[in-house]
Amino acid sequence: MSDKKQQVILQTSDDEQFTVEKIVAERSAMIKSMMEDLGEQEGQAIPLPNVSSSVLTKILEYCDHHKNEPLPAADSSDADDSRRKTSEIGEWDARWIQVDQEMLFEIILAANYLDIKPLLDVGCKTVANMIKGKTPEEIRKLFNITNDFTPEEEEQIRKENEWAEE
Amino acid sequence: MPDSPFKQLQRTLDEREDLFKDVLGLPLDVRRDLVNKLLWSLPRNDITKLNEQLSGILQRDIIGSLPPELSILILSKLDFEDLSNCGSVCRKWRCIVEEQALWALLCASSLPPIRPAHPTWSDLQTTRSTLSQPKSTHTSDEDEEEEYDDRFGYGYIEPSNTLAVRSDPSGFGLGMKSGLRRNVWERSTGNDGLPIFSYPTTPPSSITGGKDLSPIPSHLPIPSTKPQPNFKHLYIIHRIIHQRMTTPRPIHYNTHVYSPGTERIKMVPKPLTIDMITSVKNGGLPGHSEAIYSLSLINHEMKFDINMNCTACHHPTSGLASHNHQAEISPLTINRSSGPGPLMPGQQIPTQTTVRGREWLLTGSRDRTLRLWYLGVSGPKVLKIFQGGHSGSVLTHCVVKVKISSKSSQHSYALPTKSHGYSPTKGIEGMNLNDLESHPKGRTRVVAVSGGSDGKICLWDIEGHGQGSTVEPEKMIQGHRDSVLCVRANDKYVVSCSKDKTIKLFDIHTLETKLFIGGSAIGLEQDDTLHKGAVNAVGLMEDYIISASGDKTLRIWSIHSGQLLFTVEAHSRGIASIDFSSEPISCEPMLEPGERWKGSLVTGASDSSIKVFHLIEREVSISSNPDVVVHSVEDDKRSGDVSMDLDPSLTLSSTSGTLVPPPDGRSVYLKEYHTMWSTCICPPGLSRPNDTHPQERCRRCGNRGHTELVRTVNIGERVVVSGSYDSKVKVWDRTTAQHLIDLSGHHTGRIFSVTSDKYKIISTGLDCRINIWDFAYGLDTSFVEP
Repeated sequence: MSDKKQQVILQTSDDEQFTVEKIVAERSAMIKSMMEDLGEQEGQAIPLPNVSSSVLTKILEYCDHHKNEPLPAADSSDADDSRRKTSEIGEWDARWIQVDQEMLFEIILAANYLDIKPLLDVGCKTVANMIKGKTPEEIRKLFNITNDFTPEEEEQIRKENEWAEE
Repeated sequence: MPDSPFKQLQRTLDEREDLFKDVLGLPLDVRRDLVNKLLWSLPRNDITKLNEQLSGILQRDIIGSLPPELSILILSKLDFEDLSNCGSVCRKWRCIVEEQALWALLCASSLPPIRPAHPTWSDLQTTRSTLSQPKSTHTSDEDEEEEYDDRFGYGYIEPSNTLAVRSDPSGFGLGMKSGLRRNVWERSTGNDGLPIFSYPTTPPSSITGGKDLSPIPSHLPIPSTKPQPNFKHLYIIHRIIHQRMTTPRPIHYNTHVYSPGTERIKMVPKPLTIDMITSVKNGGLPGHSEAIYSLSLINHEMKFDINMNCTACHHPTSGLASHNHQAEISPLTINRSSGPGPLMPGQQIPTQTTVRGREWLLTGSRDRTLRLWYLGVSGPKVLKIFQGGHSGSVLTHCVVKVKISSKSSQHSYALPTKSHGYSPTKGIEGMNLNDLESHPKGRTRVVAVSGGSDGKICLWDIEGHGQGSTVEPEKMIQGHRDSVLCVRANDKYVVSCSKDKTIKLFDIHTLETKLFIGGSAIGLEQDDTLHKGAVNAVGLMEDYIISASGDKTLRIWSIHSGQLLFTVEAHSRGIASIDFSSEPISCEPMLEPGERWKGSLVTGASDSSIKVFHLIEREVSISSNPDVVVHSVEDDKRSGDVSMDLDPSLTLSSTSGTLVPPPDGRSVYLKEYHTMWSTCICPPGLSRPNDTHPQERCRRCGNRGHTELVRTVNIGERVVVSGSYDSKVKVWDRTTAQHLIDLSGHHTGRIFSVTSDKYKIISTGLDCRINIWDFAYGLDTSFVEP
């Protein structure tokens, strides 16, 4: 009985149901506060209309791995912290987030929606690391972007960058 | 028998459909196997094509597709170079990179955080117009010529003394020919006949030569009562200034020879040199005519209504005019110069003027006065003279903002008397903004504390709206029996040290003595805890007093009890100067558990070396739990139960210092961080490389950077500035100790004081000149907090 209480059912956008440990689901501040607000409703699935089952599978993997870590403070101003430890991603996280760009995109969106701060941070850092040290052309290639600047605009940008670099 | 071709096709299609259905119904691992097999059954070309298609599908413009707030979060983890690259990717990315929110986030998360100043529209206007003056580059070229042309006219003047000026009514040349500095010049230790040139007042902008103003405006095009900062501009400006200040420049060997061609490439800004003549030329009171011992910058919005008529004697004492070259001399001015100093020819008939600005300089001199310089766009000038306090040289001073207390309220003219209570008829609607603003609780005022060779300590009200241009001390005490060598103050205390080997702590408002270190020990010379030589410099912290002495030691005292907490013999010879900063730096030292970094200390010594220390506070208690460690600073009193046992391992390993058990469970010590060495300063061919210790490259010059006593040090945000008796000013990287810039050749005598802020370095010394190196030349710094 008590075992059962520790389970939570999550329902994804494509109507798949995931039964997970409460402690895992609580990694998401959004789910946590939702459960607190709604109270314990046995058997009731928590709808996650913005998350697909494939992404949730991936994210639950993350949550499960980190389930025993302390939750970050609710209103920690992590601006300084995250800045200072820039590009530092844990070993497990780094391996875990080796996914295609589409998935990475979905993970960041879902992490933001589910309000999982450390996960959002990992996602952002991963993208930042992808961009780091690349020329505009390399970035375009990386993300399959076409250059839509007019020559005048490019000149303007060049001038601005030149000024900033003295 | 044969079906029609159509039927055949239909059947094939149906079969295919069924087959696909079957296959898709298979479990995942089977499908995976199947795909693999199928893939390899395809021709190579097809695989390549598939691969291209697939990778296109798997790619995603993450930055462009995420909601902007998430893209900004990602971009904020990049540094500036990467961001400018991102800005050139495509229009969508450009828009995100241009977002103010991104730059505001970058400003807030940089170390130290960048906060915008709050200029008014008129400030902005003034800055712009100064910057956009097309003549600025042109002028500086002219200036340069002028400098060479006038070299002899400026410097080689027939000896005469200061008084000559008064009897020199023919001085239409703005006092230039009167040889004002001659008396000083004779005293100077300058070893060659380098003439003193006075750089005209236009800020040096030669390096920006012809360059356009920034392509990014410094404010946002939003109509509002106050201009809104453009955080992108702000961030970039900080970056540029930072780079200008911390780019290492080679040391020039022949620093006395000003070589316009080569130095420009190195981008060392030319200083703006100001002196008493400059001030008069700009319409101010004369500057110091004798050696200047102390400098401090006041970055505070201040406004003075300069009433030209001195209330005491009802005659004009100064002229501040916008058209300062109309050499209209009032006969009155010349005849009756009983004012603060000799009146200079070229001064104007006084008019009522309001001068307001954010940047001010206070100087103290051998002439027994302190002078307040306005460093605004119309050129530096002296607005106020603080005199009547010291009967000897003003050796040291410092400026501090203090809360207006009831005790001092009688001196603050701006304090509204309304604060004694609102009239009962006045409701809440009666409390307008002005009332709130001027409520004494949040109000501060700017005061200066000065110490002189007469042993006196004076308190001056800098902002006081007293009429006239001379100010008398608000308070004055005989602090020491001998010269006061250094004073420092915070919003509670003043600490002073003296040649008489003692240190005193006073209340900032009343100048009542709170502590007297060394005072009780007269005749007890064997007391080991006291300094054995003159105390040359002090530093003031929340809990500690740091002192540096000619006896080679640095000592830390408790501000509460006066107890000696730590001693270290820091240099091989006497320590001449220290500066302390608790502003965080980007690389703090490795700390052990229970230790806390409280600030960095820079020392300059008579062995001509400069050292950097970390002041580290540490819990003494072994049994203390983490809670105590965290809270004990805030909670001094409760640490009575903390064990007082000193762990033997605490007797320092890194320095030879002596640790004294503290009364409150904490101990402090100084950890030597690095010595600021420069590369060899010997002329080419004369250096003697040290083969056994390659990191110390030269045995001839000792790699010390300075060759004589380091008289003054200053910790800036990123740099340490030092000034020495060798008449050089040097800039060092605060974190790496690297020698960055050698600013020599602009003083002719010993340097007594240097100071700096985010974008300026200012030095002064025996030659009475003040040199201002402005690293923000050509930049719109309206929103930069100095």
